[in-house]
Amino acid sequence: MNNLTIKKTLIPYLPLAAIILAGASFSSASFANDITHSVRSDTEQVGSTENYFELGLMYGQGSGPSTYNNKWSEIMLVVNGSYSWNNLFIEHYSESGNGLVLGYNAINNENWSLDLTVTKDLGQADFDNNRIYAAVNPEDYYPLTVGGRLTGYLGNNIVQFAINHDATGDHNGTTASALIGRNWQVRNWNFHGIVGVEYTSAKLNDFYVGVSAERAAYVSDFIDGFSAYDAGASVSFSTELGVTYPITEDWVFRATARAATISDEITDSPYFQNQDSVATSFRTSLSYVF
Amino acid sequence: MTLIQQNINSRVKINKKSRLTMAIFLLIVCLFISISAKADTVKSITTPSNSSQLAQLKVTPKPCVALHKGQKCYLEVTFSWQHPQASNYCLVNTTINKTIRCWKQQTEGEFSFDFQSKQSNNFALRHQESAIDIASTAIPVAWVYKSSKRAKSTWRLF
Repeated sequence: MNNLTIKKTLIPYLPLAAIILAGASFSSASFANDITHSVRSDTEQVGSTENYFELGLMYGQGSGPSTYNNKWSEIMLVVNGSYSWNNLFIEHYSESGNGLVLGYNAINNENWSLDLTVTKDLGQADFDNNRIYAAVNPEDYYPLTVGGRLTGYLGNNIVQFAINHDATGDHNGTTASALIGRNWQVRNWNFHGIVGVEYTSAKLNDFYVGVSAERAAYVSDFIDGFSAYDAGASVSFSTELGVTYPITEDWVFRATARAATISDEITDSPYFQNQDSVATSFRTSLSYVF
Repeated sequence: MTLIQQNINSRVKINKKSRLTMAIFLLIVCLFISISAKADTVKSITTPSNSSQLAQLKVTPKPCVALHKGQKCYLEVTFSWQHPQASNYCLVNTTINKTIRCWKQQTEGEFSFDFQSKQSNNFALRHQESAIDIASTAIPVAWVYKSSKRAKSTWRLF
């Protein structure tokens, strides 16, 4: 066996995480008056979008660690919707990495909501790199995960903790995330900011970016330096700023900018020719709400 | 080598697909713009009252659209009115019963106003010191997402 195991420290990410958190704090503080004025009602009603459906087009571009070219751009279909029935719900949000989510709302009180979910969660490294795992491992891109998400509506903020585990036995990997977000209304513009941290287990990372000794031996005949690789667990920090504007009663404009750290545990894989440690993206869309 | 070739092939396919979707996107945008332009041309609606079919009061643009039900809606609007007889007239918000502006011995007037409300508001032109509407109009408030229930769904739905 010629497996190469590289364990990386998380310490290099701490300064970037500090910058992200500081930036988010500044953004929030600078709009404190608007939040004080509006979030009490808005938070209770923000995302008050049960049972809706919308279609649109989204343009996205970004850069990050990649297997080929570190910059990407794409126009894609927006399919957003949510429908709930007797605490069962189905939702899809194109600007989310999870895609289609099936769930059951187990607890829902004034401040907290707990959902049990079935979805596809490959972690931020995939979403923030324009679903890069599909290029690396297209035949195994759709494992389902089961898990839960706890959402709290705390004053001006919305917090969400989520954990998902492989349900189809493909990789037996796990993701866990903690996010905090808030929104504020400036006239009819609805701004939001989110910061978060996500843990991805070694099993999930290794399933997508690990290289077996057998594959390394085969590929190294064509590509020099393509060695075996065991990916470890990773932690990713992310921040998102966005705006939503109702153009008419039926048309909605959105723009979202994201930045997320991508762990060396992922980018040290020989699949990655570009090893940027941060993925950035900008997405803008126009949607028709039925 | 195989992996890279697959990658290049997939990128080429994506580029072709992107051009097609870009064309569809531009078509939809053009369609949307033309629909909006038509809407602008018909949004000046006059609602004369029974008391005077000759008076006119209109407000543009409308409606006021906010994202979520319950949010305050903001809209810069312009009221304009006409009446064949010069007199003292007032523009009144009849929803909250508040006089916005009065004119003395005029046959027409115009007034720009920063509308801010969580609900639709009705407006009327009245003779000063009178409670009878000569002409009326409204600024409807509409929302894209009309449910007032808190979503169970993700934090991304801001």
